[in-house]
Formats: sequence, C-alpha cells, structure tokens
Amino acid sequence: MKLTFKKGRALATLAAMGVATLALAACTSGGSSSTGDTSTGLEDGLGSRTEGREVYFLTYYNPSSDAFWAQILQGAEDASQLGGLKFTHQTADADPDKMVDLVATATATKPAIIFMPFNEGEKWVQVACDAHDAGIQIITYNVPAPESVGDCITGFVGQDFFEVGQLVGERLLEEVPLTAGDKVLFPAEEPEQNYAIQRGGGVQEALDAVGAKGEYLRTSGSDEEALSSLTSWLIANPDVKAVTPLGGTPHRNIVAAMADAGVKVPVVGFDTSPQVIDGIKNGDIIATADQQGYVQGFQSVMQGVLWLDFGLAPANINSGGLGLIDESNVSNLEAEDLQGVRW
Amino acid sequence: MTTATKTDDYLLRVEGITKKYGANTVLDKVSFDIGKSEVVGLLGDNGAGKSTLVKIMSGVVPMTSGKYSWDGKLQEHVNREVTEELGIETIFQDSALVPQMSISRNIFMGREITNRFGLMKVKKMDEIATRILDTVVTIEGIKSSKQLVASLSGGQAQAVAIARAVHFKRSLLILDEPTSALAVRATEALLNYLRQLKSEGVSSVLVTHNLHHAFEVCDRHIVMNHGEKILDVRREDTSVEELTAAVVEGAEGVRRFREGRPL
Amino acid sequence: MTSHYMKVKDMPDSNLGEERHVMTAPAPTEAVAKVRRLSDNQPTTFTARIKDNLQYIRGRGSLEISVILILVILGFAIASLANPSGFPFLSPNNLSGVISQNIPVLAILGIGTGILMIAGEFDLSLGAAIGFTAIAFIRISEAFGWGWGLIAGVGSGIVIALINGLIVIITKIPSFIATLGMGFFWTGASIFVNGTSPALLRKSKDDVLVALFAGDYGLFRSQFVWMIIVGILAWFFLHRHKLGNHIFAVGGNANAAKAISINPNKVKLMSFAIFGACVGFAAILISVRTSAMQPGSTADYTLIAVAAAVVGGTSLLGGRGAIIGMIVGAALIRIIENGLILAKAPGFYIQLFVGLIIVVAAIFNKLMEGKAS
Repeated sequence: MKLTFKKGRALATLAAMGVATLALAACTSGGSSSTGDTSTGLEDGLGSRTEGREVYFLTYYNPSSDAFWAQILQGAEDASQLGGLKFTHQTADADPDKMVDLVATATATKPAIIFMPFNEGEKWVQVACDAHDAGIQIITYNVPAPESVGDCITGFVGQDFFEVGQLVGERLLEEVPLTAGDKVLFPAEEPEQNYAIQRGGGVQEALDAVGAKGEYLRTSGSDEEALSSLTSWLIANPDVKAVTPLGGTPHRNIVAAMADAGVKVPVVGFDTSPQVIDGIKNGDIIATADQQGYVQGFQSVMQGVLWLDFGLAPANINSGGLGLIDESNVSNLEAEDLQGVRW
Repeated sequence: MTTATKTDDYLLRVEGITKKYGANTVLDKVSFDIGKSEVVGLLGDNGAGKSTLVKIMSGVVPMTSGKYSWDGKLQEHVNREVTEELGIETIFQDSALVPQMSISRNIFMGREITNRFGLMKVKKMDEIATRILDTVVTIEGIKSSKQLVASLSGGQAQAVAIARAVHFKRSLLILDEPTSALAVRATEALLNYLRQLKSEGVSSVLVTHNLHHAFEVCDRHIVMNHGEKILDVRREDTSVEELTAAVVEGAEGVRRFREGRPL
Repeated sequence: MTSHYMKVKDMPDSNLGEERHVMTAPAPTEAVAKVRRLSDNQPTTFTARIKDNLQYIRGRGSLEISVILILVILGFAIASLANPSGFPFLSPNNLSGVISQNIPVLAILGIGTGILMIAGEFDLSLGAAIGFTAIAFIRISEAFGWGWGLIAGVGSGIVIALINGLIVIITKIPSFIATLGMGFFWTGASIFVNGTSPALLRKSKDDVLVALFAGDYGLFRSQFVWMIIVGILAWFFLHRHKLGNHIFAVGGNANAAKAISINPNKVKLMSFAIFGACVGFAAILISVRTSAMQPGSTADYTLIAVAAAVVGGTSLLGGRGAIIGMIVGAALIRIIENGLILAKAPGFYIQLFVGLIIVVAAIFNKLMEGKAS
C-alpha cells in the first residue's frame, strides 16, 4: 500500500473527521439545550395561568454520560411538559466554574425559575443570590445549598445522604446480629468524596449503637479494578461481618467478588443497577437505597410549576422516600421499558 | 545500428535533477554521468547540495524533476528498493545506524536473513557479521557482533556503516564524507580501497571536503555551488588549486583561475 | 521485484572468503589492542554462550526488573507461608481470583502499548478504546452470539487504532496529542452507540465462553494461559521476525530506516494495528470477567498501561523495549497493589505506593541502561 495522499485528499479527510466529530459532539455534549412545547393546561389554570414560562434546568454532571443524571433530566423534562414550561437544559459537565457561568448567563435572560444543585456549595451561593435579587426563583435539588444562601433559594428535592446512610445501617442491624468490635466493609469509588463521607457517616452512626466499625476501601469507577480490590480485601479480611457498598460500582461487583474470594456475608447498599436487582432477587443482597433520580428532576420542576401558576411555596421533598428496595418490591424496577427512568 | 559512443557507455546518468523544498530550490538542473569503473569526486562547500544529491542518487529522497538512467535504460520510478536492486550502496554522513541495535542487526537491517515465515536466523546473521568484521573491516576493541552500536565510538560506528555498504554493494558505492570520523590510517586504507574497487569494475562517488584526498583518488571531479554544477573535469585537466577556487568562489572563481587571476 | 532475503542468498558464504580487507577502525582509547580475530573469540561451550547472550541483554531493561519481580514474589510467598491467615498471598482464591485475572489484562495492554512505543508512537485513547471495544463485543455477542462478538471486539480495536494511526501519519500531529483528543471522540462514540447505562453480558455468557476466557482451574484462570500465548507470539514477532526488527529500526532512527528502504509509515500503521488487536482482546477478557461495561469508566487504563511498559524497560523515546519486560512490569504493579491490600495498608496509601513503585522502577531501569553500555 503506497501512502501517497495528495494534499487535497488529506484536507478532505480532515474535514470529514471534523464534521463527524462536531456532529457526535453535538449529540452527546452538554452544551445542548432542549425546549418543551406548551400544552394547553388544566382548567384551573395549572400549566397556563402565568405568561412568562421560561425556565433553566442546570445539571452538574453531564446526563449524556451519566445514567443517574440522565434519570434526573428525564423527570425534569416530563414535569416540564406536563406543566407547559419553556424548558432549557444546560450542564456544567462536572466543572464548578462552568456552573457559575451558566447561572450568570441564565440570569441575563431573565427566566422565571432556575433549577440548580449545590454540589460545590459555597462556591455557587453568590451567583445564586444575584439571580434571586434579579427577581428569579431558585429551586434546588440533588445536593442542598449551605446555610449561607439564606432565603435566596426555596425548596429542595433530593436525598439526605447521611439520613439514608442511617436507614441502611439500621436495616443492616435488623438483619445481621452485629456486636462490639465487628468489622463492616464500606467500599466506595472515591471514599474522600462527599457522597461517600455522608453515606458512610450515616451507616457508621447506626452501627455505633452496637459498637461495630466500618472500614473504607477505594474501588475506583472501573468494574475490573473494583472486582480486584474487593476480592483482595475480602481475602485479607475473612472475618468481615457485612458489606455496605456506598456507590454503584462496588455494589454491582460485590457479589462476584465474594464468590471469587470465597467469603460470603450480608450486603445492604446504595443505588440500583441490573446486577443489584439480580442480587436482591436471588438473596445475595438484602436491600438497596434508591436515590430515585427521576423524582429529583420531576418534583423540583413540578414545585416550580405550582409556584409559577398558583404562587404555592416550594417544599422540601426527600426524593428517596423512607423505604429501601428489597425482595418485596424489587419487581417494580425490572420493567425493560423503565430504563432511563428507574435504572 | 549505431556504434555505441563513449558518451552512452555510462553507469549512472542524471539529467536536469531539480529538488525543491517548498519555495526553496536546493538543486537546480544538475546533470552528469558516473562512468563504469570510475571514481568520481563530488565537491562543494556546505549548503551546495551534495548530501541532497547523494540521497537522490541512492533513491532515499525523490527528485522534484529530472531523469535518472542506469546503464542505458531510463528508470521510471526511483526509490530505495529500485536502487538496491541496481546494486547501489551508500555510506551516509550520519552513518544511518540504529544505536539501540546490535552491529549484526544493523548490518542486515531491511535485508534480514529469514526463514520461510520471516523469522530471522539470528545466529547466522551474527556469524556472517562476525566474519565481515574480521575480513572486511576490522574494528579494534570490540568483543562481538552482538554489541550495541551505541557502545561504539564515532569512528567505530562509521566503520560498521562502511562494512555494511561494502558487503552489499555490487555496482556503485557512494560515500558521503566517510572519513570525517576516521583516523588517518583508516582514511588512507579506505581511499586505497576505492582504487581497488575500480579495478574490480565497481564505480564509486566520493563526497568530501578534503580536496587533497579527492585529487589523490578520483578520476573525475564534479563541483557543486548553491545547487548548481559549476565544474565537471577529469583529474588530468585540473589541479587542486582550481578545485579550491571552484569550491570557495564558485563559477566566478573558476573563471578567474583560468584567466590566471586566482584569489 | 525480488524480495530482500533472496539478494543475500545470492551471495553464498564462500564469497566472504574472497572479500578483501578494507580498513581497520582503531579502539577509542590509546590502549594497545592485540590483534585477534573476532571469530576466534566467540564462546563455544554452552554455559559460555549463555553468559555471552546474557551480557548483551543487560541494560535493555527487562533482565534486571525481572530479577526484582522474582524477589518480590519470593518475598510475598515466604511471608504468606509463614503467616497464611495474616497475609494470604498464596491462597487459591487470591492466586486464581485476583492475580491470574488482573495481571494478564494489564500485561496484554502493556504489550500493545510497548510495541507501539518502540515504534516511536503513543496511543492515549487506550482507555476509551477499551470501553468502545468491550461494548462492541458485548452487544454483538448478545445479538448474534459470542463468536461474532469476538470478531467485533478485536476488529473494532484494530479499526480504532488504524484510524488513530492514519490521523497521526497524514496530519503529522504528534501522536501524543492526536490520540489524546481522539480518546474523547471514542468515549463519546461509545456513549452514542450504547447510551449511558452499562452494556450487560447476559444470555451469550455460556459455559464455553467462561471456560475459554475466565475459567477457574484451581490456582489460575484462563486469562493467564492467554497471557502466555500472547506473550510468546509477541516475543517471536518483535524479537525474531524481520518486521519486528523494522519496528525497532523505525523507532530507534527513522532516517536510518528510510535509507534502507524501510517505510516508516507502513511500519507505524502495522504497530497501531497490533496495539488495537491487543486492546480489543484485553477488553474481551475484562468483559467476560465483569459481565458489564460502563462507558466512560475505563480512562485510568491508559496511563497504567504506559506505566507497565515503562516499568518493564520500554523507552519513552522509542527504539528500545522487550516483551518480557512489559509482562514483568504489569505483574510488578498488580502484585504490589495486591500485596498492599492483603497487608491491610490504609486506603489512600495504596494509590500512593503504586505511584511510587512506578517512578522508582523507571529510575532503576534508567540506571541499568547506563551501566550496561
């Protein structure tokens, strides 16, 4: 094969690749916006009573590469359509500074409502209050805003990681006879991140009642890496009494790891996935706490509609509810057509 | 049928060789012959285009335009595979060796001795390389043909490049500044060797800065200046002084020399 | 056109006797050298030949680091025998369940990365490519059976690498940058093709597939056997085949290679293709073990594969490396990782120590390089 590409051909190839890249980027990047169409609304005015119906829904992680945030966005879009809003979604793609820019730009277009999470807490308080001062309603979800935000924001729909950690810990104590000095494994993708600290902290709080102690293990977000580190740890600690996986990656790999290590103990964890559903159905996993991402998007936007048309004050809603998913209710998650909504 | 005139009895003929890199013309319509059993000196100052000409003659660099003929036949496409088949071997100025490889692998690079599946016969290559190093070019102080080229001095590495070209050449040997890294005695030996080659019917092209060396051993001298050929004379028709004038001052220098007004 | 090796065959060995002596190149120092024929000096006895060969492998990196690996394994084994419950390194669960599953994957990735590095190029989209090829393998297997899935997995790996390689060759952008950018492209492509939920290997995961690629044989798993097979094939190709010689030539001195009619572009493309095949195959081994692939979760593999190659003595500048080294590098990283967890090292120390080992090993190899020449 002789590589005698003339310059013209090379440029054409480059152009084609460039176009393909742009097209793909447009489809998968977070810069995209989507707008919902206006429905005619209910008789009492819900969905049509107020004129200005532009809203911005800002996500921190990119829904096109993150299944959980895709569920959140799906709920938000559904609620927006039901409520007849002019919906624009933008994502900060896990960049805290970009979120600040997004809020500021949105403020300039004077929408009725901005929906935003507070993953980076203090960093976003200033720009949120600026928007509030400009007359825009701020409704929060996923991670609550810190105290300093005062009354710049109203309403929060999300899960209290610590609280649900306690829920998980208490369920564990119901099922497993733990005593003082017993060891429990707390595997997480990145144990120094907020979600792991909060969830783990909640579980430990519950375990403190009997004096059992949790041990953290980093698994990373890759399945193979998680399998190896979980298996190694279990082999090294055959005296472990239970496992509470703090994130999706360790949770969906713990059953296989226990089989490879020859160490089998009870498991109660967080987040859902097909492997966790299987585990619950065949008894390897006791229960899991579902963040119910869809509810976070849906309820926050619905609260917005209620405020927009009827002036009702947005409420705080615990998206995960007070229940865990176990063998008694796991069939709800299984419907294939609920992919993107429930898992 | 016409009788073959002397001018048609050449080994390599290049006509109108031009080489441009973008807007930069490095060689401008260079034409000359290399005769059979002839030692030709290719001279010129830095930047004259000698190394580019060498690479074009050995097929490593393509010419922008021009004709390349071998033994009466025009060559349509000239690349390294073609010139290798014609029997042309080159010793490059930078020795063209891979330092992290052994001497024997360097000698056989691109021409590895292999079995039916392409797997190299390493033992055979080492043996033949060892014999080459004993008979053709001796390098003092080395222990084995398995030694890495990186462990050799500049002169020793150049000697390996010479051994390789000498071993594989069949019709034309091109040497681009081969003596720059060599000691005096080795240089003398190499120049002597070019005379021997002549008597065996192998031509050579010697590119060098050292006009005395060139005058000693070359039958003919070609002088380049800024990409053009300015002088093409036989040894008996010139002198070291004229060659010096040509190299240093170009065509102007030659004219003045012939008018008796050297620099 | 006659091929190259025929030309040398045209010159029978007896010709060498007629070759005339041309010149002598003196040794660099003033030391008086006795004139001795090289041929007379070559080792004749078996042990002498082995010593001679060893001497010329020294400094190419893999010999010394292999010794280090053997020492580490011996150390861990002794510790495990002395204290089986406290340091269960030799327990069958550890050997089969952990070591013999994760070393082969990294070793095969290291071999692909290493061969490409020897040719003088990088492909930093490796992590993204693992995601894409694993998804291709899983989805095609689920739809058409794993026979087609295997072809899709390895095939997509080769195609991705060739596209990367063509971009590098045609545009002449350094491969470092070009493939870094392409990594984002391939990640996006895998999400585009698959969506954000993980691809799952379910109904096509039959007993034969498991026995072939993740089968448990007591003290080791099938992946280990594959690593040995790939290692042997790669060794013969890189160190004994003439194309392997060309790869070293192009990476070591591309101009020299061109002067001897080796086409650097062809050789580099071939290296990219071999890299792609390794990536695809490793992705298949990963997928059969985990039964799932989450797009975007495999970015870490890129640099750890480079680390495995570098720890094994592969040079970042090209032209130098050894297959054994790439396997040893992967084994060293994974075994130390395993040992740290078994020894109950506190969580964050594990990442810290693995990073430290990589740097120390790279420095060690550099020192060995210098000593041998």
